[in-house]
Amino acid sequence: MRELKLLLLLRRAPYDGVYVPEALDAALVAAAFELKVSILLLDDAVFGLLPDQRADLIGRRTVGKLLLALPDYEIERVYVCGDSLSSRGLHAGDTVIPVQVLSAGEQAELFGSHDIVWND
Amino acid sequence: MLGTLGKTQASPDLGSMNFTLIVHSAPHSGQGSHTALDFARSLVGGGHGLQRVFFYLDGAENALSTRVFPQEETDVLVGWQTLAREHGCELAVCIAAALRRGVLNHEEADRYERRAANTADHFVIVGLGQLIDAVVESDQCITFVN
Amino acid sequence: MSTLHLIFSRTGYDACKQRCKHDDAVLLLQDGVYANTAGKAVYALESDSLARGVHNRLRNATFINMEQFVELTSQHKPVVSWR
Repeated sequence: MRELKLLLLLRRAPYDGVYVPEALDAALVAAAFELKVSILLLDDAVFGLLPDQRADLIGRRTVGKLLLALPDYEIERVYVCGDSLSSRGLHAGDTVIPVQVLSAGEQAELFGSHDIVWND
Repeated sequence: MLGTLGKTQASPDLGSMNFTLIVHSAPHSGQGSHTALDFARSLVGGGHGLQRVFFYLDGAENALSTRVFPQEETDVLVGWQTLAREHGCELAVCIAAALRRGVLNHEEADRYERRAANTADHFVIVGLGQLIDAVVESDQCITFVN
Repeated sequence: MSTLHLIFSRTGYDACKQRCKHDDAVLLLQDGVYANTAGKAVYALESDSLARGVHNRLRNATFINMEQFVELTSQHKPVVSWR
């Protein structure tokens, strides 16, 4: 069977409810079932890339740590919107994990190259 | 670019397709469940397949048996149950999403020693693996959000 | 197959509009019918437009019903939802 390509589109801030960890859980399970999983972070979701997050202090799972664990699940393709980063004063070099920065046009192409897109 | 609805040269004639629907929206905090229900009805009415509707994130709240819908508001619970009963599609609720939102069937209520079970008939509590199975076996996956 | 973008709110439209390819389809539904599409050709779910009283304010929208929404989803892949 052809390997399905799944893209997880994250737009929420990392601690906006527990939506981002929940959505990441689904992506991890998909990867464990051998779907080809990629992640795209836009808008406030890019704050999930900040290093030094300590969400245990507010009784939550730390999104930065969840992202660090992605390669253990063979999720290597993490993309981020360049405009979302720069408009929030962040830089790709400062992120908790290595990310591939995409322009809006490249993001449009990214959607088109996947079979399924999930949300937070 | 808008084309005419109907068969176009660019897209193959797919005939009947199998769909997986994901619902992220709880009744009242969003419209997504209602839209998904109407979509599901049109889907099966149009001869397409709908194996599973997967209720995730806040969508897990659709499984609550204890809601009382006011008169002018659509009872989406009855709507989903009728759809499941008449068309045999599964209403699957993610266990993790359900537990943290207080949606428990008898088994989970016993396991966690909660006072009451509150999942509605026709809704089944499942793991995320069931979502993956559904998308792998279907041709199209659509998520309904707030 | 080209992508179908489902727009569920105004902010969803703003996020989506730069991330669309020319031949992608865009459907406004739920609060997405409040979007200002600046005359760009989009589909709009008729029931949601009528419900919100914006039917006459959506220029260049092709109004569709639920059956046509289903048909649209059988012609595009993937389907991307924008809250």
